[in-house]
Amino acid sequence: MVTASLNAQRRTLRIKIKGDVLSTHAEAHAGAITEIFEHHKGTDISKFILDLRTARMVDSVGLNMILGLVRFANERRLTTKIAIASPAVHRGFQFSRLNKAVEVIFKERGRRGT
Amino acid sequence: MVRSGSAISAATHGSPPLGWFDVLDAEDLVVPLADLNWIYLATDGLSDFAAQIGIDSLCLAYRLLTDSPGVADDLVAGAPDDILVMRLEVDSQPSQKGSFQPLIYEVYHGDEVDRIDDFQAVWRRSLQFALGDGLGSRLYDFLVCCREAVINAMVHGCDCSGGKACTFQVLFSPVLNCVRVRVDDPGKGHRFDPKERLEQLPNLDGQHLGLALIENLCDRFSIENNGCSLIFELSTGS
Repeated sequence: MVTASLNAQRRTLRIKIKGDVLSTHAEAHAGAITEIFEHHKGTDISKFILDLRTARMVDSVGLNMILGLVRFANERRLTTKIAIASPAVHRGFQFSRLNKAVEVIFKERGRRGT
Repeated sequence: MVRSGSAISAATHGSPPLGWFDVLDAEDLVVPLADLNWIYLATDGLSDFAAQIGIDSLCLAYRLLTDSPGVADDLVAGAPDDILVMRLEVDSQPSQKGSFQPLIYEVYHGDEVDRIDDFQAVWRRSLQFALGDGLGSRLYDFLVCCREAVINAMVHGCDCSGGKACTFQVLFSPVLNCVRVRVDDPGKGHRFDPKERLEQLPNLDGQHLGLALIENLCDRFSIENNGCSLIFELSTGS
């Protein structure tokens, strides 16, 4: 499930994907997020936060989907951050160098952020 | 049957005997003993109860054969049928490789890709049933790696065809504290170079990103049979 919230004062769009980001749902997630951006077309947004803190797993199709979102946001000159809480997801981000392409906030549940 | 090198195979024919018939319709099964470490035999009560609780029957066998009798009795308290499981040790001095015990053995057809979430749920329940929290947070590394390997075998090895099948097997070595996964498919194979894939990663569009992800998330990774067999290991307790 994908939900969104807009903080107009901070010009920040936060999109939350609930659960894992896997091949079976990645396309639907991407479609829902595209619709959200379309809905906010014309709104003054400078920051985009992708909240994946409930994801315990992201597979290769999910990684490609997230990278596509980052490119999409970069094209719109948005400052993008991705929030994650799973060590397994963090390892996938490090391996794919996604953490070099975008700011990743990794805060494992019950531990300090890195 | 578990052979050295930890390859699991199922008997090509035969089925659990039904006890209420006087005459059994039995056939001889000749099994070459070379490289054979273990033979597992079980009544259908094992697979029926495993299906009832949503795990692989080999995981249930593992617990029944390793837990103390009291714990094992509690495990199958809700079983609707008698369960008999035997493990015959063929190699009297099994090597370290032979110390791997089978936890999961499944055959998936190429047209079952859409069911990958269901398969993954069984793997998760089975591993947690057999090993408890032994993999810790690496359970999700395990699941991602298995998912990528099985999807790859179904799509590329089986061409998404219902007429082709791949095998998925998981083994555990209590001696080495290690889970080993092996996926075999009937395809033509491929050439995969992890280093080459990692160099391609800035583009991240490679179709073999899944294999590179496995190679990165697991502790040991190898390819055999020209790419048709994928073997990887994850250490437990790390």
